[in-house]
Amino acid sequence: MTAPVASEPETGELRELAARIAELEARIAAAEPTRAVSIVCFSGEWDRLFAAFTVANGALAMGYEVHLFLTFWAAAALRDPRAEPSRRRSVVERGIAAMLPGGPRRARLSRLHWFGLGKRFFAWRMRRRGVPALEELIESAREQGVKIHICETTVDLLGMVPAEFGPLGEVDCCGVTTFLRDATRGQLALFV
Amino acid sequence: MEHRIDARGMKCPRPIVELAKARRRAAPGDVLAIDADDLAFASDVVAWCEATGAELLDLIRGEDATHARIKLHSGGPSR
Repeated sequence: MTAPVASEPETGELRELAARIAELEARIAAAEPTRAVSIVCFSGEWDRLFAAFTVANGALAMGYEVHLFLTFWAAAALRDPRAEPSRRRSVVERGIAAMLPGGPRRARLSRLHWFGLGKRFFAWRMRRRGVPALEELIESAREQGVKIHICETTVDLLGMVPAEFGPLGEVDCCGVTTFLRDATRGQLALFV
Repeated sequence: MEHRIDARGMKCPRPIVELAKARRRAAPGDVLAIDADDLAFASDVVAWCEATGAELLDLIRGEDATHARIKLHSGGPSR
């Protein structure tokens, strides 16, 4: 910023004003929310994941930065059961893995599942009506640059390894603080 | 330049995702012309234009499809 030629006291005042303006500009920049949407995915049910990924896709298409925080059953449902674990699993961990749903394809409907019949019926009907499949929504979100965060506690508790989330692209393991930082910086936070 | 998108037979959020993809490929000043038969589209395309700073030139609700023409401007959220 170039100050106009001025007498001594005025130059001092101008400098002070410039400093105050710079400080205010920095404050405004910090106060302006980022165009970001944060979604906590807790449920591992197929229909709920579908809802979360539909919102994520819409937000990405509108130019929002989207952060998905996968925790508990959602993290379990979205892992790739065929991924090679990077380390040997304990007996308990293998037991948990056997009981968890393996991948989005195996996820259950929250209502009217009917031992898988209900889910197959809805999947068929959605396909016929041009509704994207859950796998398609996940892939589309990845293409559009969704940022996936995995709850570290869940990974540890359920005996999972980050490599199991390979199909989701680059993921980062984090805690609640990262979620809160990103959510409060953004304009919208949802819990599914 | 005008980019044509046929989103007929696609349900929410696919038509909007297709718009976003086309926006990434297009340049400011380009026009996106889209046909969609999803009933949510007429409302969603208005919201999408507001969010991305694009200009809705036409919105015609036809018998079997909604036709929209959108002019892209520089600025708006990153693509």
